[in-house]
Amino acid sequence: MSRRGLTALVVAVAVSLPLGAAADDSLEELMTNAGSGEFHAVGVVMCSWGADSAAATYEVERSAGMSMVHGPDRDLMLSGSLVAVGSDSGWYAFEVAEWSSWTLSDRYSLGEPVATSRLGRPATAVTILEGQRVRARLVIDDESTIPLVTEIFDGEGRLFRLATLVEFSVGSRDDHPPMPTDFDARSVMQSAGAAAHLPASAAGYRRADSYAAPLGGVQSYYTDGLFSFSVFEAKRGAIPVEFRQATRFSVDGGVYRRIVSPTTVWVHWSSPDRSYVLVGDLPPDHLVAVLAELPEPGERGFFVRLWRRWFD
Amino acid sequence: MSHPGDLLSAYLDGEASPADRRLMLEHLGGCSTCRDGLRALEEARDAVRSLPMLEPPRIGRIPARARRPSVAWALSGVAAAVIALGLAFVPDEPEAAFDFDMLRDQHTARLVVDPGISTLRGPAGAP
Amino acid sequence: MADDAVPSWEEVARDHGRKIYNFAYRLTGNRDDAGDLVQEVLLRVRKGLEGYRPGSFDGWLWRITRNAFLDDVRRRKRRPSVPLPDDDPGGLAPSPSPDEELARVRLGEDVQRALLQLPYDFREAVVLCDVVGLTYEEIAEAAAIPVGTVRSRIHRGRKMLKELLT
Repeated sequence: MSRRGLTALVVAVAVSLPLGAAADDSLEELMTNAGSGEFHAVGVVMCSWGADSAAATYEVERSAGMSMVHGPDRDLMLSGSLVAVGSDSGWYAFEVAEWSSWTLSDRYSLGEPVATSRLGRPATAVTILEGQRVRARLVIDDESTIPLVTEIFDGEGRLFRLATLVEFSVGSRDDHPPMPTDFDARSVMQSAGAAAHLPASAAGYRRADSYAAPLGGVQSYYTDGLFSFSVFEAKRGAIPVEFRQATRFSVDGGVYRRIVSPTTVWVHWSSPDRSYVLVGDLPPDHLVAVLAELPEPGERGFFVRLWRRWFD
Repeated sequence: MSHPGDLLSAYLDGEASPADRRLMLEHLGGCSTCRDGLRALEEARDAVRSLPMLEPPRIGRIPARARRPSVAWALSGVAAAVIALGLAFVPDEPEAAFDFDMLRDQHTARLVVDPGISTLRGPAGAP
Repeated sequence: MADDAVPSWEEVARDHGRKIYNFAYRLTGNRDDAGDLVQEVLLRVRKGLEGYRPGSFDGWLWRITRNAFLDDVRRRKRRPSVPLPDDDPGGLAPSPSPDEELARVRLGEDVQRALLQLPYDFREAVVLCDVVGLTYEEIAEAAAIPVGTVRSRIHRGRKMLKELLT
């Protein structure tokens, strides 16, 4: 979105809804435009979730419809639906073959924009409201419409995730980051339509697509348009080694384990028959509401376990 | 004035009071030991000051309590599961078949086709 | 969102990250530890900024930095002395022009080696003064010691350095 576009958006919001709430098509436009434009940035993203916290710095370069993200231990190149991952051992790529179209939940609306400045640039601060509650606050660069600061709040209004750019320049640079030239054979095309045993919606999140997951599992992708998560289900097994030291928490008496990364939360639990891993960027209060609507954790009896161990 | 001791460094750093500075100047005029001392201190200070300022790495992370899943861990998990299956007498369940790097990639693959907040979305694949 | 008196978190990250990194590097000689410290400090600053009252910002920031550093040292249960750059090729991740960077680092090797031989208190005072550029008063605030002690630590640290370097 151009500066003119943003101004139009701001004006539309201010004019149409003087009480501070806006039609969500402005938010849709904002979300769509936040993902376009050419820029180079260095940012920090951090997350504080209960006693867990995590942070990372990253560098993003976006030009000619491609994004290059240099992260802590790997690089990502995004071009359309193609994701290429690079590390010391080379590049590989994957993409989804089909997906259902994006829709934004009507529970979100845009608050009134406020002119401000960030990194010495004219910017606009906007809030994303969920009902009457502030769910997110963005500071958007006027020229490029790129969010320079993104703050996400939990159900009690506490900041739990912050992404902020510390260096930012608009336009493409001459010294482009190196693009991958040859890919490893590990290119994965995910196909939709795998059967999932999960609800079509959970706590305002819609199951948009299901895919066959690695090692015989199923991936269900849920989104409310603003946040999203995938639930991977597989035949029940013991707690993966990654989660053995993870923080334990409970929802409705069921015990879950979580790992917090700067941009996502990972949750593991098992029902008597299946094991689940949820990964997504949803806020803590949403997570609790979602887990309450997904299959609940549970143990199975010793003999069932024995039977399945031997004959399943 | 007796030898000024640690006031010499303070003098060098402009951290001595005006009164001390005056006394020091008078003393230095007649004391070659302190003049040499001052020169030595200055050399030591300059050696440290001329150390190159290093650029911090752009990229880093704090895995506070979070442990990032890795291929190695996942593979060791699969190996453990295979061994556990072989030893059917061990009453532990095998691990569920999750390869976390693949799960992350798969979530990312679907995530990127939706519009989103780019500054969060950018590093989403690389927690 | 801008505030004249209290720097924003982003400003701290931008303006002080390099100094915090160099502080930790000169105290430990280890790049990984230094990188970790920068992020730990920024996290703590982020948490602490809301309660921060305008005053000596440097004193406040460096107290946080110093505490984070010492916590880290305690957690690792070792003295803050780790291999020198030449013993630790993996720690020398070259950034823009590797040879140049390497040469620059090498240049300061003898000084770095000497620094690491100083008792911790002296080393810290010297680094805060001559690498970070704090005043004696700011160092006193950061380390929670009297200014007279700062003066004596810097003085004795420099004297020892000089002896080690000749």
